[in-house]
Amino acid sequence: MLSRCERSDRGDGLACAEAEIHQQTDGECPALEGERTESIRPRLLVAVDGIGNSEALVRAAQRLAEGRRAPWTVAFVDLGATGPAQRARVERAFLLAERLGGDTVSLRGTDPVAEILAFSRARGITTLVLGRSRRRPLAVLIGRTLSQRLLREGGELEITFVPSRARGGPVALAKDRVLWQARDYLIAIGAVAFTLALALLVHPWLPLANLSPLFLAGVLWAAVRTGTGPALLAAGLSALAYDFFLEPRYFLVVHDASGLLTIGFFLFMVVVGGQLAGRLRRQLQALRATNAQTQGLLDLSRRLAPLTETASVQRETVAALARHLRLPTLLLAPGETDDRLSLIAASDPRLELDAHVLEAVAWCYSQRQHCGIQSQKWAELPWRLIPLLQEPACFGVIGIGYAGKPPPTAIELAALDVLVGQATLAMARTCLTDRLEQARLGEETERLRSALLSSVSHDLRTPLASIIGAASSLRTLGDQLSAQDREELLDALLSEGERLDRYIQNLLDMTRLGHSTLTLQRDWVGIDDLIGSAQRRLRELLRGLTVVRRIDPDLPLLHVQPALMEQALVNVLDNAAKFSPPGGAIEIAVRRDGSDLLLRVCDQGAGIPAAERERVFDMFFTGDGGDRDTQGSGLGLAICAAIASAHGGGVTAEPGADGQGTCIALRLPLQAEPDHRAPPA
Amino acid sequence: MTQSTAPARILVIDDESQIRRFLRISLKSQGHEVLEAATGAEGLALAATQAPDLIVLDLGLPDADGKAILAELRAWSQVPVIVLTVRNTETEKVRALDGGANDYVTKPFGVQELLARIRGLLRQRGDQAGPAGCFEDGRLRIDLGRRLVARDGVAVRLTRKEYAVLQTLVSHPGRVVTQTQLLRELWGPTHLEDSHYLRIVIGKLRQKLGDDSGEPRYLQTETGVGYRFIGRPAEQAD
Repeated sequence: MLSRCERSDRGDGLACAEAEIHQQTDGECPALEGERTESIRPRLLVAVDGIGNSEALVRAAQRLAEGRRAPWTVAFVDLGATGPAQRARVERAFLLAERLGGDTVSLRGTDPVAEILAFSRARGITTLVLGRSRRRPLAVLIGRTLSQRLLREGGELEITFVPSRARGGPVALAKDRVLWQARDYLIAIGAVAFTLALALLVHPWLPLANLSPLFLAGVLWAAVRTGTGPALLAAGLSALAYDFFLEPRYFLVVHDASGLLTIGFFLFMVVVGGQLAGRLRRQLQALRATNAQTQGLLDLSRRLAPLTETASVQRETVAALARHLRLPTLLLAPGETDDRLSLIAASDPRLELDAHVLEAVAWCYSQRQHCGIQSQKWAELPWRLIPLLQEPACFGVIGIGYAGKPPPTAIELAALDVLVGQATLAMARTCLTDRLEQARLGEETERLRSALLSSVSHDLRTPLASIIGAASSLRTLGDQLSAQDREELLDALLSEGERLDRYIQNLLDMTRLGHSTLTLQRDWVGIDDLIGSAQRRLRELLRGLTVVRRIDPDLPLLHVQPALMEQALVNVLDNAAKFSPPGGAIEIAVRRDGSDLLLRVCDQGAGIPAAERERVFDMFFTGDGGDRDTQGSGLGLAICAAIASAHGGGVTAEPGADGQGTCIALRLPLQAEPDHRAPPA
Repeated sequence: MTQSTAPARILVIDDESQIRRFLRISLKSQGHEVLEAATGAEGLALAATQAPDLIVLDLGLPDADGKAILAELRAWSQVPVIVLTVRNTETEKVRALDGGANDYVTKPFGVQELLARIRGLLRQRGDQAGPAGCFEDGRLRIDLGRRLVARDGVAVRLTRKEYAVLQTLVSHPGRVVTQTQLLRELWGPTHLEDSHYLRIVIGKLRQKLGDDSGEPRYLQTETGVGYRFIGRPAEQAD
């Protein structure tokens, strides 16, 4: 084991440095020998306090880390009592660290030693780099300095103390600190003065013993509001003031041993209570700060959790970030096919990006690194650009606009990174969902494609086979056939041709309805007219069947695309005719049902089993009958359902009256006619 | 059923040779003379040189848009034209009809349907002098000259619009009249979208004439296109 310790006391409270380098596993000092084993990957943690020259410390640590080719992190333990000047110092150290390629982390807690050690253990830190900023002779005596405690408790770590070279920093800091603390001492004195005044006021009515809690309360309050020093001052002053009330009164002399004892206890209580109260206060402050950040994170996760589409996640991310940061926010993402970024969402639609910013966005996306304000690249831009990175995918770039606003602090940027990370996770999730959905859709498409192929080959060929058969019979056997047989063959030719026509019509309709861009060309039309023309088109098919029409008089006009609705009726009637027994009756009943028009077409066929009543509207569903000749292509009712839903209506299959046959019920919403008055004469 | 009208010279413009063959055979059987053209240009040339009495024009020609040929033809000729269209193209049909076609037949069609259309158009040409706007089938009597409509011998009271619609349809017997034509003629060009006016009038007319929309005897709806008066005069009834 090799150990080295430098101590250079320059008297400015800064430059004392200690270095103790524990050997690594191979027994050689990596810093001196420039060699290291790979068995433990070295990681450096630099602890800065914002009191000493933290930037010098960061630079020194960076050199050290570079020499060892080790990743390094700069940590600051926020005890909840950080003054603005100290905070600014930490910020500068953090920004410098980011520029030099290090990570930064802000820890919160009451015990810096415990926090640093816990973090080091969690992250596998091998080397701790510290600077010394002030001398605390008393603390050294009782072994309570940070370095002493770290050396004692962090036995497994290599701990390096680095001298801070710059001198200017701490002097300026001392001034800050004096100002900051002077205020606290004034508060402490004020608190005692107030207590004293109160004691004088109530003293005539209160026994002496009851005055001590009053002073105790004052000192505790001072301890809670300030720190240990001011609290001690308050305690001393309070002891003196209390002494005022002891015999002999109004003299600062204590004759009584019990009086001295009281004062002694009093001081002890105050010190202990003040310490406890001070710690509580710091914890509370730290909690508040953490809470604000946690709230933002929670809010974002809660909003993102239920979203299933990438587009809505993108929109919600931008909205939540803009709300949380109160800054203009935007999101750029690549298109589905090309890698070119385009603006997907912006908190303010008036946001405009100049070419410079767009270039930076492209850089951020391609390099997968954040850039813009407070970073190495494009630092002059008023934008902070963060890639939505979830290796190996990059979902785009988030931009936060800081134009006309104070630049973000490193802590804010770290918090922002956490929020963006959350959003990225949500995007990765929806992306996965999308892909699954696409795979499912692909499967469905494949199933439909094969069903379509089998349907086409069957339903096109069957009528064609009959047509070719009938025509060739007539051609070759013409004279040998009886007149009646010839008529029959001719009828077959005609009806099979019409059947083929209907099938092709259905195929065409299916393609058209499947197209999402279908826009209805609605017109006012009477349902009786539509039924009439549907019947006319099916004249040949309906021959031999009885069609009973029961249409309520004075039905309002429908506002539909007439040709499509006629096709829906043709399909329903076609279906009813197919399943009707020879000579059966088909009933068409139309009535008004609330704000809907209800059309029911009932046949006297075999009916549909309850389990299949929903499925008859599925494409290519043809029932389990097996004989596809009478079952049809499985397209007609599917198209009917599609047409009805395109018009805002629906179709259901119900058992017929007396449980015989099937009723197909078509429901269409009625719309108010534009003008109910009689047409202008 | 297949009673023929006076023989006429009919020009068929269609690129499908099978369709031309089927039309030639059917039309010749009715005593008509048939001219055939496979392209629009050829058709226009024949129309100009041979002076046909009627033209059957396919709207889906390979060399030119059927509507363009129709427009060109209409620039110098008022010869009756029947267009052949496919289903699902209601707007196309209406455009062709409004662009000067006299009637249409949807492919695939039966020959009796085409023959009926041809008869309607040829009769109109020849019967201009006939009983000027008079219809009588034994049940319904419409006398456009005297503005008289009677059902089973009882005068039917029609409003002005009802009468105007009936008059327009009856004066083009068997021929489709588009909804736009009716709306423009009867309500003026500002009411072309107000088709519900027309629906109501037709509904009232059917009621008063005792017609059934399911099996119409007089007023037939051509879905998405317009209306057709299909009444068969007594002397022509089967």
